[in-house]
Amino acid sequence: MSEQMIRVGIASFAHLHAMSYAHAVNQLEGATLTGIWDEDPERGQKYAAQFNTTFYSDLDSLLDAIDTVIVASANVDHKPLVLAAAAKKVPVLCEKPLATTPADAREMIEACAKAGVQLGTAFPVRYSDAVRKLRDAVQSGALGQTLMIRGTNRGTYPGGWFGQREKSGGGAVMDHTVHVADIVGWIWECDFAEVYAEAATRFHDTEVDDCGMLLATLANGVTLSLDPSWSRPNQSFPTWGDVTLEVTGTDGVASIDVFNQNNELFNNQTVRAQWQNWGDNLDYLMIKDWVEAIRDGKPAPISGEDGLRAVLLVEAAYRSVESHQPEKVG
Amino acid sequence: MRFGMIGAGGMARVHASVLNNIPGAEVVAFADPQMPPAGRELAQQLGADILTSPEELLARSDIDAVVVAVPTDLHCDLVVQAARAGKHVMCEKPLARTVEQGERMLQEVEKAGVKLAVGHVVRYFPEYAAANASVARGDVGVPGVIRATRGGAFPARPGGWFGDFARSGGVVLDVMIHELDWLIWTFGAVERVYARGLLNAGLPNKDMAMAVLRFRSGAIGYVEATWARPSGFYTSFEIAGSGGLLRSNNQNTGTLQFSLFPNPDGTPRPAPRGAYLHDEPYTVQMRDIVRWFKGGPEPRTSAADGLEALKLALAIIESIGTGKAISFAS
Repeated sequence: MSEQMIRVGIASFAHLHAMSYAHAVNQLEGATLTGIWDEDPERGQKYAAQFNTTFYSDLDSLLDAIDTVIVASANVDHKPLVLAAAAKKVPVLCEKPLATTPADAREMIEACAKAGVQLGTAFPVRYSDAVRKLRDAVQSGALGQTLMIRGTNRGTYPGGWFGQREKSGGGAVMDHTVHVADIVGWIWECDFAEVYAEAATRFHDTEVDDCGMLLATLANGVTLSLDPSWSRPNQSFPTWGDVTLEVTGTDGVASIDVFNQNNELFNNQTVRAQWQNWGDNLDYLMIKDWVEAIRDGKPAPISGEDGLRAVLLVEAAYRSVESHQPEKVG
Repeated sequence: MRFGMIGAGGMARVHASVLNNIPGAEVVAFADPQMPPAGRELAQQLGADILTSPEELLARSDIDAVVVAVPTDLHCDLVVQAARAGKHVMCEKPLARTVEQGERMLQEVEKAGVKLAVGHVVRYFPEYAAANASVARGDVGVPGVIRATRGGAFPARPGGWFGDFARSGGVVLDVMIHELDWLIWTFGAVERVYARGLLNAGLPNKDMAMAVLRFRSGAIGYVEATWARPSGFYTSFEIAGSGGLLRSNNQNTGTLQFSLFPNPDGTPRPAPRGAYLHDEPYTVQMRDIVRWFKGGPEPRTSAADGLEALKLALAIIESIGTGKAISFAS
């Protein structure tokens, strides 16, 4: 079983991360990119050629040919694709957010559980060495009792379907709440209890929120502030964005800046300064871990339930955006 | 591949721990006439034999390769002995204490038909490797002025050899040589150098040097190395070219920081483990070396590269001593 080549398929390249996942599979010894399906056949064929693999015009044919599928479609399309994988008993790693509603996420979790296949949520930030060392420090009590956490996952506006509610399910709050929600939930092993949120469209011509601010309470009483805004200016900012946490505990403060390992490049032709990241390839580490779990028949390293926890916070945040009061999560 | 460690001091223990985590490599013995307690402890942890003499270690037929991690002035004799015993050698930087020793080492390994790797690990630090690739790609155009600094506190240890210039070559041969190797790798051969430093200032437990380089390409370099800071470890580089500028420093690329209150009794709280990368550079370097020893491709630094860096470092020391610039024949 340990020598087996794991056959991986990718369902949809609507999400840009699919490129990174395809690269990762191609780099991994012990995994092969068997094929790509895409609701957009032209796009699917283009990427199949680019990544040296087969384009499947029929999703079920791809599912029949592989050991695991990675779903990288637009947010609202996660559910039908995951349900299709479950129906074919194919373990599935799904882009974040797992779903655009808690009900959809629960349906996906149940379908995969019934089919007896792993459902994973793609949260690559868990593979950051800084996140892991912070988790060790917090869980070993180095900060004492945690009091308040400042979190950010700011970014540039991705455009395309991200700005179309019928495909994305929401804007910056939908897109960028979940990474921080997941690492906080993982480090403190805790769900969210309540959240107050603002959201607005302040930067771009789009129907969805392109900025927001959350002030959440974990079930253990800890306060989390979370900035998910697409606030980085697209043409001029030196990088795509960030993931940061600053944790204040009774015994001290710890802060992480996950994507801070950069060489700074100024180039007269490009004009915009560029931060060239030399840190770990977190997508590669995540895909490697996923393939190992599939090969060894182990549970998903990051589960559907983990994905649901983050979606629950997003759902409550959007309720608070409407009510202008804190809302209970779940 | 079975390794014997010649030396059980700081760097030897780093390499032994790294080897222990590389599949297909193991540490079977340590030899150090002054076995420090930490070395003994590690040897016991790894299940490695504890020997007192390198001769004893080199006589063992069950050892395929050795790591030489001993004071600089002892590199030559030990590497020559290891070569004559038919063992591949990983030798810590600098290659040797004198050019004559370095040349002799290269001749002996060639004669013996064994491989000699030199531990110029900065080529494996991702910010430096990324900068090398960035320059090669033309991101800054034609390089014009390069600045590079490295250093921190004086490595004072009881019975330490770093402060003995005859043995260590001081901060230039021990610290600056990291930059010199990276500079030659990235910008090519050096034509001329002028340097000043604290070598002859008669200050115990302090050393520092500044060198101005002229590359054959016409670019200008400024290199600084210090053992005169109170604490900490600082590295930086800046590459200015006709089309752009690339820079990085280790003070603003950290990913995890702690600030802890003291213990109730006033004693400082120990800092938890820091974060860096999933695969740190000493591991990546040693993986390359093990792969080479087993018949794979060469690592990033060759023994000849080690000799070039050594020649430049010794010229800098000479310039500091004589007050004269030194030119190299082409």
